Amino acid sequence: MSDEHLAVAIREAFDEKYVPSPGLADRVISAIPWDRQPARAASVPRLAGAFTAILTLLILALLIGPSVLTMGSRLGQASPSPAPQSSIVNTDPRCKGIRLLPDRVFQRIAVYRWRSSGSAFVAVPTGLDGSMAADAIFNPSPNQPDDRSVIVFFNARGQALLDQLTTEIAIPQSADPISDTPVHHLAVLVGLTDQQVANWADPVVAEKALMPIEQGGNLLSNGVVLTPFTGNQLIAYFGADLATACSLTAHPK
Amino acid sequence: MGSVDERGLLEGARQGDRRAFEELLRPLIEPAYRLAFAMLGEREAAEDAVQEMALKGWRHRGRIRPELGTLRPWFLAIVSNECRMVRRRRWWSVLRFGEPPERALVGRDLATRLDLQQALGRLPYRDRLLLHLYFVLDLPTAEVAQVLGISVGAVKSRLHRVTTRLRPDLDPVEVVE
Repeated sequence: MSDEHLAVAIREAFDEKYVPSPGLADRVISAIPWDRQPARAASVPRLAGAFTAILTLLILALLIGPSVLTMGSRLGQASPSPAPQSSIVNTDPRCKGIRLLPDRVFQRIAVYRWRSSGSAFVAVPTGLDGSMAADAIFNPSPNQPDDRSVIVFFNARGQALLDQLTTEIAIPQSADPISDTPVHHLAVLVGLTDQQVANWADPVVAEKALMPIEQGGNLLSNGVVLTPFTGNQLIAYFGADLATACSLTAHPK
Repeated sequence: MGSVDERGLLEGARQGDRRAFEELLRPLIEPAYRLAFAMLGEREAAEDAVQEMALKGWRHRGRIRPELGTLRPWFLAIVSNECRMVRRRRWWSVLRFGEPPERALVGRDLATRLDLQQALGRLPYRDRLLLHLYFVLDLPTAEVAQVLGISVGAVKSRLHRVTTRLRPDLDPVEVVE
């Protein structure tokens, strides 16, 4: 296929499902709050404010730091997965200088599936978690050295569970992956505490945990299962947060 | 890059001239929506992303750089970031199983059963974004680079890599009787 044909084919593929939105420009423009003041651009005078903020943070850290550290330790001990390694390391060059997070190591992942409950969907544990994970690595893609997706490898027990699970929920091949429903997805979470697990039926607890990790939740990924899985590998993370990717692929010192 | 008139509009928009901003924004709404729709696959979500683009654009109008001569890369970068955030909150964040993606994409099974549309759907977000900006919106590589925040050289090499990866899925299968 020539470059020209490829370009046409790509355009057609993108356009095939395109649905125009008549009148969008007018609606968008009419909704702009024209009187709103612009966001302040960064400038030198703001350095004083930044300095004050840093000073305040330093004082706060000195005052409440010990309490927070103690709490973090308690949370770690309460994890349903094996306790985090007291000392972890990641020798990957991408992780040089990155602060590793013990509650985001691959041993702390937990896989959930979605069940319909009335008009909503609830996430329920599958039994597959980090206790069955043997290793985790960055996706070894020679053409994409900056790829931060992480592959988790499961042991035989985990592999069997993953096989069974994905066979049950895989999306039918004739269906459109974009228009599927949550029942075809697996939610991979990391760093859940015993308290979160025990109170999972509380929608507030579950909802907060199911927020993306960048937004303070525990959700690493929530992807569609396209085909039943017969291997022992699960790509669990596609995020751009290098600290999470490095922590997931860290090992004991 | 950009005519004197357009630079005047850009300067006006930066200073808070509503008419100048509207004049610059209006022709970009359709391509922005097209991009958002391609990334999200849903009309309502794409419309929301474009609305957010317009709101953020107006709110951050002080960041407009008239010397660049165009607002298009800036707006498209905003909308692509919106789409990225929406996808993280939505169901269709991609999770692939089995083989690593590099092998899976050219694997025999997938190559025989996936058409180009599905192959595109399976590309990482940034690669689909790149293809859409270049092939559908027909942006020059310099503007694609601005939207993606990478160099022109990186755009070219990434385009080559992604289109090379797509070809196995596109070549007709030879049937042997």
